[in-house]
Amino acid sequence: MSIANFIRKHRPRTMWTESIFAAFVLSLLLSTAGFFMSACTPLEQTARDLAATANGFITQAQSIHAKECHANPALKTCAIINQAVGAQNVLIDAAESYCGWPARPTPAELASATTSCARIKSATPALQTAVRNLNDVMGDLRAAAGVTQ
Amino acid sequence: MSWIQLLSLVISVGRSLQSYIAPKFDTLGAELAAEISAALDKLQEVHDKAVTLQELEDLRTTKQW
Repeated sequence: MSIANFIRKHRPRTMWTESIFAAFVLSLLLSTAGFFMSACTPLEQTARDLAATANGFITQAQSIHAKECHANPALKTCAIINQAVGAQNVLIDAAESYCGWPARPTPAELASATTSCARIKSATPALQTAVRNLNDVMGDLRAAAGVTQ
Repeated sequence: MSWIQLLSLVISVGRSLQSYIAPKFDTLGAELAAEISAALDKLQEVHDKAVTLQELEDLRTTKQW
């Protein structure tokens, strides 16, 4: 019996109660879906979104501070920007390992990688650590580099 | 059952309900079905947007100094 047939068989019998029933069922359905979407975002998607955000922040910070940092890379802000670059690359390496893909792939590996993320459990702690670390560094970068993005 | 399978199930149930409700009511059904359809489309879009190796590599940043 399909879901639609099940509901048709067990639905309330008046138009009014049927409307309420339908609205209730659909609210429940969308709430459930929303719960899964918000509470259970896959780790690799969290990593991808964070890497994308960091990319924007870092690129902007590099642009803003290019002149002073080329003149004196030892400045604190310049060091934090480089730290963020490192943390972002570690995150991407960890995400690739988590997905069972080669970290830092060659062009040939990149062209042939068509599989979906494998979600290797043993690589989970490393990716979670990389996410936390990049979040921390991004906080420092935001404070130090004056990035408004 | 993984969360992604559960979400697929929820979307599938939603599609079934939507196809059931749309012809059932005149005004309420049409409006409700349109809203549900938009919400489900959005969910489906997010659900289907899988991470790819190429995408991750494109996001890498490099040190400039």
